[in-house]
Amino acid sequence: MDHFPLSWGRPRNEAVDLYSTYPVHERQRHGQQHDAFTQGVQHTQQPIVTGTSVLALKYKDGIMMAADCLASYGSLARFKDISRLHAVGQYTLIGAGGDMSDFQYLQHLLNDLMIDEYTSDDGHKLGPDEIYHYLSQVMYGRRTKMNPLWNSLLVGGFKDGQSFMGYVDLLGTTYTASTLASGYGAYIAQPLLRKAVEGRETTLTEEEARVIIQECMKVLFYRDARSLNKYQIATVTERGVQINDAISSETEWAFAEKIRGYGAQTQ
Amino acid sequence: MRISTIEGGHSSDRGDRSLSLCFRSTRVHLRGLHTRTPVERCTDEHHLHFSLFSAYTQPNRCLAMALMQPLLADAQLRPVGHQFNPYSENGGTILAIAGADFAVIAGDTRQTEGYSIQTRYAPKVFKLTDRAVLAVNGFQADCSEFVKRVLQRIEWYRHAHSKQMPLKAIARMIQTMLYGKRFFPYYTYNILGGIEEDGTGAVYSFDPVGSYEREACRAAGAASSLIQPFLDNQIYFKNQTPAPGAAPFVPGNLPIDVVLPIVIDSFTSATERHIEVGDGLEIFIVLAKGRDASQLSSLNATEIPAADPTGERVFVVRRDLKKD
Repeated sequence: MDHFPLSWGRPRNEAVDLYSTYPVHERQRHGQQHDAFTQGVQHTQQPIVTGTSVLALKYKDGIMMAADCLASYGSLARFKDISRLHAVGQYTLIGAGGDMSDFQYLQHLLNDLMIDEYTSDDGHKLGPDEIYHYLSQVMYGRRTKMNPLWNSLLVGGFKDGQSFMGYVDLLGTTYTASTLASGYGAYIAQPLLRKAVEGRETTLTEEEARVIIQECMKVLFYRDARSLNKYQIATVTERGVQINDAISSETEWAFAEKIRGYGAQTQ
Repeated sequence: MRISTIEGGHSSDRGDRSLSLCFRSTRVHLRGLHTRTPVERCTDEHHLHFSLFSAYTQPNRCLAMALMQPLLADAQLRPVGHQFNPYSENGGTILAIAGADFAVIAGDTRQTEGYSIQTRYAPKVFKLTDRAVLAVNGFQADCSEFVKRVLQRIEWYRHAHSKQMPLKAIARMIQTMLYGKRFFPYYTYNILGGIEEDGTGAVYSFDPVGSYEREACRAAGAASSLIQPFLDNQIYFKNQTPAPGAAPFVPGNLPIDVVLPIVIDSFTSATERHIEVGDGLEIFIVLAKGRDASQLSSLNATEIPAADPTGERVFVVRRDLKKD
């Protein structure tokens, strides 16, 4: 006998388990398989509130990462005091471009993961490598469901004397390198970073690294129309993760007045 | 829901409506139905509504309507913008050549997306067992997922049978795993190389949905169209004729000191002519039981220690390719 009044008087079908052949916990759903609400659920087809580039490089003592504080709504500079750098535990830092609400979801996911790890109290701590693989599985799993988290993420960290830097994006594509740049920075900043860093990963000092990152952020602010001259620089070293307060670069726009040929001028 | 979709496509503006009607009849023509449909005959909203309703109550009259439904839904339901594409292509090239008692499996280490170099070192060639090496190329996320699963299945096999999985079994397993995702394929080109149970060198090549065959050589990936014809000539002796009186050519019997320069030259040439190839070269060499390795010393080959020494040996050679 079916105990669900809602399924009484309806035609029999595969989805209805009239004689309770399944244990209660895996009972088939009764009634219509697809209700109006699930049909209305939409997958992310495009990002809405977005962050632009994130940069990262390796240096002597660890890794350095930078991202500006802007979350855009299309071409509107909507939120100008957003932190796109996020510490995960004491060894790892992630920086996100793309959809900011998806990034916040990931922050919650990672927070839950770290709580689970903490409560297991097994003497192991998740390092940057583990976080990177975790994120890549989450991102690849979501792309396979055709419901991606619309982000490109940089993962950086320092644990057991080893620095780590990796990239994960909405397709689940991953790679590691000694300089990383997501979004527009992949075109504008990556060549500058490679020129300054490749081959010098173990000798570059923190001051030198900071100068390189600041220069790249300035160039990005000049050229990327979705960027903001207010950015955070973070480091991960033996001393742990340090996300600094937002800073600005000195910029010079006087030359712009003399430029003719594009822009708003009429003559 | 479909009815409301079509209604939703109509504003009160008359011009707007005739435009979309025109659009519909075009679609019907595309389908090869050259009769005027009920939709075309309607001129005002009320009649339109009636005829759409009749599409559901009188299906025989309105076959054309039913045919149009998916197209209409396509054109009007979906928001402007493109659908999410779950695939990408990450460049690079792989290649493998079999000898009588060895196999060579190689790949470059550049990873690209579009015109950008993502990294200069992303390995594409993986040691699976002490006598099998797999090269994967295509969409990086699918590649690493696939290799991860292959390695796991190989480990399970070892636990279940207390021996390493034989090469031909790995090949068939890869076929099954690829075909298992026939309708949402792994976008990966696989080349498996190694030593068979009878001690011969072997190369198996696969397409993304699992078709496979054993061959003497194969190139895949971004520069496959540059390298494969070269291998056809050098390994399969295509368009070559033996000297008068000389023995006929037999593919798959070249000595290793001929094969390795062919591999290296293939990659340096592909690097010159293909922008997605370069940065580094990894060559894996699998030698059959008892075969001497002295010919590898000049290449600075390092041996990868066997997990379960049975005689076969795996070496790897790492070289630079141009980074520009």
